[in-house]
Parts: sequence; C-alpha cells; structure tokens
Amino acid sequence: MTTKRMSEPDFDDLLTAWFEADALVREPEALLDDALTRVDRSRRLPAWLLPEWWIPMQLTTPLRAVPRLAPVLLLIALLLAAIVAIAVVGSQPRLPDPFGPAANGHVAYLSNGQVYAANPDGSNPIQLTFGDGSASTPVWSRDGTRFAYRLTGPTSNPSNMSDSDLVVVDGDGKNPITIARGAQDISPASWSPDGRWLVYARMDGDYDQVFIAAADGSRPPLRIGNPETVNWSPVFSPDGTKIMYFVGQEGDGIGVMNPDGSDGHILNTTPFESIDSATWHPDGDRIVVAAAGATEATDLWILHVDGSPEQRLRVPGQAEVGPSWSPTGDRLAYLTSGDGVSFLLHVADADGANERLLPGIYGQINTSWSPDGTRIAVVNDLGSDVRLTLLDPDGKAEAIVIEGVRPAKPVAEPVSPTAWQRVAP
Amino acid sequence: MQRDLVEQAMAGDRDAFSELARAASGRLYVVARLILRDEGWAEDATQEALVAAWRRLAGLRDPDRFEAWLHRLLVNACYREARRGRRRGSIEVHVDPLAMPEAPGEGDLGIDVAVRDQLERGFRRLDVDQRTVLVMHYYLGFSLDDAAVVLGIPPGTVRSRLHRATAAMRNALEADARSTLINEGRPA
Repeated sequence: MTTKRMSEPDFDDLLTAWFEADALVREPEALLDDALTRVDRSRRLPAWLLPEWWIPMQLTTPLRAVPRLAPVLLLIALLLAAIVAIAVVGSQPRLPDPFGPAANGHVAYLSNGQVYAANPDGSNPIQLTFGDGSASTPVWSRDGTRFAYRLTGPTSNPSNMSDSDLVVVDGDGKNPITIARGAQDISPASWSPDGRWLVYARMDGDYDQVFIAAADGSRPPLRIGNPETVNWSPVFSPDGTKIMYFVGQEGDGIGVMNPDGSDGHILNTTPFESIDSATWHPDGDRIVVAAAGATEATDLWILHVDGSPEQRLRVPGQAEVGPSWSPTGDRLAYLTSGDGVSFLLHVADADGANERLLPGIYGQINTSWSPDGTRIAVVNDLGSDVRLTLLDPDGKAEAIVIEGVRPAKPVAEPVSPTAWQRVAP
Repeated sequence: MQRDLVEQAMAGDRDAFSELARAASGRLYVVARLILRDEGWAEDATQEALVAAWRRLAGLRDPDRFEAWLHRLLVNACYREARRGRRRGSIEVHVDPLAMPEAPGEGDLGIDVAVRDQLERGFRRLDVDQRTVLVMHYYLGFSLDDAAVVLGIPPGTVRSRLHRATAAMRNALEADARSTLINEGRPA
C-alpha cells in the first residue's frame, strides 16, 4: 500500500505556511513588563568579566601620524624590522611530521566573525583575521604554518550572505589567497598532508559537490567525484591517498575516492538514515562514523577502507555521537546522550572496550584530541556561558576550562580536530 | 537605528535596552512558542533570553550581530525550559494544545485543519533539537549555515537534524493519510 508523496517544494511551502499560521499570536501583555522588571533586578556583568573584553576592538585602526615623531618612529620601525629580519633569517623553523602525534600549538576559535588563536590554556589570544565579512571554519594545515577559512559576505557578494570565499592565509593571518570566490555553502576545507591541496564541498547547481584546489591558488578548483550524487564534507586521509566524503543529501553513506575523483565507492553496506560525523583513523585504514538507521539511535560504526564488513560499537540504550581518535589511534573519545540535549564524554579503546566516563556534562556533539594526545577538547554550552573544556583522557590531571572561547558567535570549530595547530615537538 | 540602540544599551543605557526588548519580545515569544508548543514555557524562555541579553550585553563586540546573538540566547532558554519541562512531566504528552484559529475546513493560509492537526502531532513527537532547526529554517528563514552559526553546531549536523525532522513530519502526514484510507476500506 502506498500513498502519494508530496513534492519537496510543496512540503517546504506547507511547513512554512503552517508555521506562519501558527505564529499569528500576540505575546502576553505582561511579558515585556515582567521581563524588564527582572532586568532591573539583574546584575549586569561588567565587560572585564567577559573574555571578549580582553581582545582589542580596534586592532585595525591606523595610527595617526604625529609629524615631529615621524622620523623617530621610522627609525624605531627600521630597527625592529632589522631585528626581525635577522631573527627570521637566522632561525630554521622546525615543522611537525604530517602523520602521528605532534606538539600542541594554538587553538583556533571564532569571535564576532573573526578568527582568533590562543594558547591551549586559553592565554594570549590573538586576532588573526580582520576586515569585513564573517570568518568561520578555520582549518590548520598539517604542518601548522597556514590555515584555510571561509569568509562570508560582504566581500564575496554583498547581497547574499550565504555566498562565501575560501581563503588561505599564513599562520599569522597574513598573505591571503582566495581559493574559491562567491561559492554557496562551502564546507570546511581539508588539507592534503603535504599542504599542496585543499578539498572542500560547495553547491554546484542544485547539489553539493566536492572540489579540489591548489592551496597556493595556482590552479582553479576542479570538481571531482560522481556528479550524479550529492557529495559533501570531504576529508583527506592522513596519508593523502584517499578522500572521504558524505554521499546523499542527508548523509546516506560514507564514500571514499582517489584525489583525482576516480574509484569512488560507498563503504557502508548498512543503510544509514543520517550521519552526524565521520573521522579518519590516523592509520588511514578505517573511519569511525556516528550514524543512525531508519528507526535507531545514532551509534558508532567502524568502516574499513579495504571493504571489510563494518563494525558497530554500541553503548546499550544510548546514542553515541562526536567520535574522535587519539593521535596514535589506540583510543576513541565520544559522547553519549540520553535526552539529546546534554552529553557525557567517554573514552574507550579503539575497539570500544575499556570504556571510561569522564567528568562533566556537555552541550556540543564534537570531541577533539590535542595533537599530543594529552587532552580531549569538548564544548559545554548548556548555559549562556560557553566553555571549552580540556580533559585528561586518563582522568588524572585537572581539567582546563577556557571560559567564553567563542562568546558572541557560537560555532563548533573550537573542538574540530583541525582547530588545533600542530607544531614540532 | 537599531545599531545605535544596541551601542547605547551596550554602554549601559537601560532605556535603549528597553526599546530593543520591546521591538524583539513579540518575535522571540512567537519563536519560543513555536518550538516549545506551550505558552507558559514560551513566556518564561522569552523573559530568560531578555534578561540574559541584558546581563551579557557588554560582551557583544559587534552590534550588527545583536539579532543572531539574541536568537542564540532564546534557543538556549528554550532548551532549559524543555529540560525543566521534562522534569515536570513529558513535553510530548502533558502540554496543552495551542489555541488555533477556528475554521470548519481550512485554517489560515489555506491549510486544511486536518493537515494542521497532523503536522501538530508530528511536530510534537520531535525533540527540541529538531523543532528548533525546523523553526529556524522554515519560519525564520535561516539558511543551514546561518542556523549552524546561531545554534553553535556544524552545518552538517543542522542538515542532518533538518532531514530527520522533515522526514518525521512527512511520516506523520503519510501515516495519517494511510490510516484514513484504511478506515475508509479502500487501497491507496
């Protein structure tokens, strides 16, 4: 027995019309007065208690020249430039290997549409991007020398805030290169291990498609993968020989293909109704996926690149989300939820054994290991205060709590694995 | 105009904040009511969001983002109300139906009353995450990326939640349609 299925546009219109009809109400008369009475009783938090106050607001304001001081300032600037040049020329920065553990560099995060970076303990925040438009999804290269980010309006297209540019800059935010311009719904970029290539997805016609581009902007982006399917959220494997991507409008499967787009195929044989996240194992031979079947809660699945049958890791009675591998790949962090709003953080062996519950309750569904594997980052935004918590996976060292790391523009990037800068040990 | 008011409120001007609250409270209440399906909880969530806005306004660095920031506070408040609701009893079962415009066959904007009831039943079965994404996308008109920014979750998660929510709503409609056909004794 079948029933006629409403078309997508008709259904969208129906939902919109239903909400609009349901919204034809007036607020209770006393609401505003009651709220303002409560406001009068409320203590206004002083700016210095809010982290964003400590970040200078006018870093881009040019200094006003004072004529009589100009020669002195010029001399000082020349001396500083000479010192910096000597320091740069005289030092050979060591870079981390593209594989395996590395030392912890900066943690990138967003505030008010700009990218900032701070030490892993939250100290010394510095602003890395400036100007008009809203920056998001900062992703460090594997050697930590550059990062890519999405820049949304107004430079891309002042009339359409959903159009974005993909921009690459040095680690200090300088020397921007626009990789893609005015593209709709650009996904976070993924760097090849050698730093030469970026893959990302964007709308192409009616669907998301995967593109590969030279990170130095020397070649235009090239669409790869099957144009007949919806392909999005691509991520390079740790060794750069494969690209993982979500297949289907809502994440029906996890596909892998070569960087030139050849040999694309779906890994899972179990049909997934939705996929929340997927992460490469550091060895590049498997992927952990948080996915749900048609009538089931989200579980963790291990998908093998060689085509071996997938494995399902389950915590009975709970939905598991936001998995991430430790840098050595021997452990797995993930979150469980009973109510879909608050989450508990777990650490287990790579096969799901020896599960341990770490302290705290969290409101985001991503976890991220620090490059050295000594901390797991998870965001707690259950209240109006947003905290980035860095926990010892062994539960021995005290948790580091960074208050308000993304105070005014909440995004998930602070706990993305790519938000950690990898540096040489 | 609003930017000026936001800047004045950020500087501590209580009257300017009152103006902003007056302009926003009706819309915030409607959004909270759409998400929570309960007028009392919606009122509490709206008040809580406005109080939180006043308390934390000094930290808003970009006055142009006041609206998005306020929606974030409201969504947080809705989550808290929903959690309180679960402690008080099930949000799915014990809420009173919202008052709806009376009509014999078709309601406002041409929606059949039976369809509206089916949508209502389907919507009440969704969790707050899914409801929020639906309201932000279909009522407030946020793109998936904008909703992700306001909600503080990855766009992929918004997409996933939206898919699950719309699938559940479709299923609710289609299940009711099938029931009707079965009751009428004829195949679809």
